[in-house]
Amino acid sequence: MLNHEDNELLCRVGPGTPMGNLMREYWIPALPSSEFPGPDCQPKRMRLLGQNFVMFRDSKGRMGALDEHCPHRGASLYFGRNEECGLRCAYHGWKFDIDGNCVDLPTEVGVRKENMQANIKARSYPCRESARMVWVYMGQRKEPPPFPLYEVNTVPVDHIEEPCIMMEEANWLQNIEGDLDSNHLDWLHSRLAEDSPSPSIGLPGFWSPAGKVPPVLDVVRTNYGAYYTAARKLKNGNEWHRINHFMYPYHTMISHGDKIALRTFVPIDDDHTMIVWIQGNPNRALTEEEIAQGGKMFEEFGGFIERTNDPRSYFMTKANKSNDYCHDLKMQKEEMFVGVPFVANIQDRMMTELMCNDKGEFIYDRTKEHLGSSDAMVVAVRQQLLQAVKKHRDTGELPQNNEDTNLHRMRAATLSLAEGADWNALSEGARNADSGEPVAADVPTII
Amino acid sequence: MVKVTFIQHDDRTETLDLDTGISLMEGAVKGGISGIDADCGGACACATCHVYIHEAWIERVGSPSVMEENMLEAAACDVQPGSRLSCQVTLRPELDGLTVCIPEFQR
Repeated sequence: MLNHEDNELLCRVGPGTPMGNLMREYWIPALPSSEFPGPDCQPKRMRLLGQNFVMFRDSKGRMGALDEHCPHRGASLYFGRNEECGLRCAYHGWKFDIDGNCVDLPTEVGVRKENMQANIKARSYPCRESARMVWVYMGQRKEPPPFPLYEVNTVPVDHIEEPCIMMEEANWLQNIEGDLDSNHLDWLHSRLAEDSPSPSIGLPGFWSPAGKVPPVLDVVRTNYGAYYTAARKLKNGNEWHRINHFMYPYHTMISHGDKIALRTFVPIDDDHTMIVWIQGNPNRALTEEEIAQGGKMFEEFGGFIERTNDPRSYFMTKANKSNDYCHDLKMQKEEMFVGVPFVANIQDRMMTELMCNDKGEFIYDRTKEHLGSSDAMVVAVRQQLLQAVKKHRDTGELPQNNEDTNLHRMRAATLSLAEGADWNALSEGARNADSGEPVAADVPTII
Repeated sequence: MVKVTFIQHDDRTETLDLDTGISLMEGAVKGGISGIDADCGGACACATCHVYIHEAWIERVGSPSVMEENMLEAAACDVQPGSRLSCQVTLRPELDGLTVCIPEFQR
């Protein structure tokens, strides 16, 4: 349970909010590079942390992000002509480069033009491409923080799949808490019985080796956030540990086979979140087919609706809250605990997208919840976040992982260990991307 | 309404007017008293709303149930004679003037 003030502090991310300010000081994965296939291609509208942008790739192939509206009289630069290293507003021809410099102002001549051009800037945001995503820095500092050295950002890009992205029409903290709560695997993602047939779509449902005995959680708080294990007893007497991480301010890393991964719950605004799941192979280049795989994850379940130019319609799956996520009672009766296939985070979205407060905003009112021992990581991460956001609000100081990007060399892991073993000590190598060990996935994720 | 005084471990003191019929935990959290986490939301299933009832009030507040006593064993700070889980203390008119101390931490 959280009190109202703390809940608001964690959930609200718009301009000027404490959490919004904290998040703006980190690089944010905004859109896939593939959305901007070549120089001078069509600009895209984007919305991050309640702010609207236009993003474009200039004639030299460089990415730019500007406040959406032209500094002249507010027309959307989305309709601008993307040409000769800048975006020219379709209204009166003012033109801006990726750094926001006004490179032409044809409504004036002579000294007036010179002066006006020199004094007018579009607010621009540094962009960087990594792991097939365009990342944006929206913060106050002149120099952005160092780029985060997550493993997906440091292996060659041909080791990385196209990102799997899904829009959620709810607050950012709702779906991310599922990544911190291993227990819901035993229910939401489970198949009906150990020998239930696999649905024709998606992963076979989860089946815990411990049956319905809840996992035992153990949390370790760190200077980048926290990690935890959820231990379930295997039939051979060992314990099966799923070790997953939370990293400030909106990332998780969850164990999924032998892939390396990074998940980001990108707040579009207070009640829209874009869930970006980047996966890759630490050791080898992927085939073309493997690369395309991540971006196609929803294809077998209807894919996406036709998008408009509103970023809140991007990556909106055909199965969504307006059609009960294509809930199928036959599947629920015969195969899966919940009658929707196990495809990325769709089942999670069913659970978290309808959570709302008294005003009908899709921001859960956590004064009403009842947390138990299976929520130990949820509790820890909220406390870490509250501490971080209050410290940043009151002193300007950011969590250590903002500057010290070496703190991002972690991995999620799945391990089978003897009962009662010191999981934390024994997983040290598996949790470290630089240990030289293979990705620890010696027990499959889905049993 | 009853007046309840909360004393933090560092002696910061706050007095609130709280409705009767709700729990001491609910009143404290709604009133913005820090140091009461109440993870389980009042289900007597954690020990993160632990308080120390002031000596003079222990008798009037009453003693914990067996269920609460078992849960108190999980409290992060020492259990003392006045220890209660504040979600299990209902505010009643005769508790007007109650004074409770909040432990340094709840986990």
